[in-house]
Amino acid sequence: MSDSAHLERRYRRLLACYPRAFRYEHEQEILAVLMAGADEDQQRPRLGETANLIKHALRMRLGLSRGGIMINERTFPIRVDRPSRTLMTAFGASRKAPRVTMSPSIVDVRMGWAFHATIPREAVASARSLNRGELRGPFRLSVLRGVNYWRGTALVNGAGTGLVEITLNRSKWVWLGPLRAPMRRLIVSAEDQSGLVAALNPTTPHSPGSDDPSL
Amino acid sequence: MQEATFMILTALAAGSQHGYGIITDVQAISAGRVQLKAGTLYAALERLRADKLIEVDREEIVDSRLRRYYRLTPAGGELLAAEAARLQANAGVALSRLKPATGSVT
Repeated sequence: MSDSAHLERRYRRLLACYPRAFRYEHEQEILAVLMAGADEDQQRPRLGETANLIKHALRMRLGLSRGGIMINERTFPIRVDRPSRTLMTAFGASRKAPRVTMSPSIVDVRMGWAFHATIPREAVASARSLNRGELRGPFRLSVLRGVNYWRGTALVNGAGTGLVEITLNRSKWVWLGPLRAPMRRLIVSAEDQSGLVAALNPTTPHSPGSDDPSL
Repeated sequence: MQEATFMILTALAAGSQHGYGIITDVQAISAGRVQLKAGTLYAALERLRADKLIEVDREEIVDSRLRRYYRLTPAGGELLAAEAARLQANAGVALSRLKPATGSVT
């Protein structure tokens, strides 16, 4: 029993080589396969198995294999206006395009090094279009750009328009640059505001008035 | 098509299976010659799923762990049929050319 627990922990450590999205989708399945294929008294991952896992994990990380890409994923660019883009470039936060990526199981929000959140899809309680006038507290300042955080709410804002409010049913730890913080609510400026809201609420019919570009 | 891919699709042609089921089935239908490793299997499953050749049939929790069953999509079935026909045609040519030769020897 303790042998198998040891072995499982070692396999789990190996699987950490895989990209996060792939791990989220498949870690449990792969662990089950590895454990089912293990000998009764086996304590360590087999050499061939280990090499094979590392090889495929590397290929995914290097983009040589499409395995690192999430299945049926959809990407929604975060709206960034020109002054913010210039500023972000200056701070090196725009190396990768800021975006919200969604697969059937996770929602991944990234703005360069400044913000990164991986949220299980089932943790998303609701999503709606948000008027800038509805922002509360320090977020009221319409000049705020970039990543702001206040009492469990993160504002990932590149433009101040196209805002989408995503409410979670529990707190999730997210990255604010080098810091970790618990987040219950995320407000993000999306290029396709109504599209993002509709994708996050697949069952809610999309209301045509929600994508007013003047927001 | 790589042999591993062909064997995975063949395993799923009989019905939906989960990861370890595919590995044991592939081993059985290849008479032990093809032994898929977990890394190879899931890289292939991910690719096949992205290409919509297979899809998730259902999910179960076994021993508090998620078990996902995969099945062929119609497109996956067509591709496998085409590939099998191609292999069969090749094998047919090879065998028909070998027959007279072996016949003359015996």
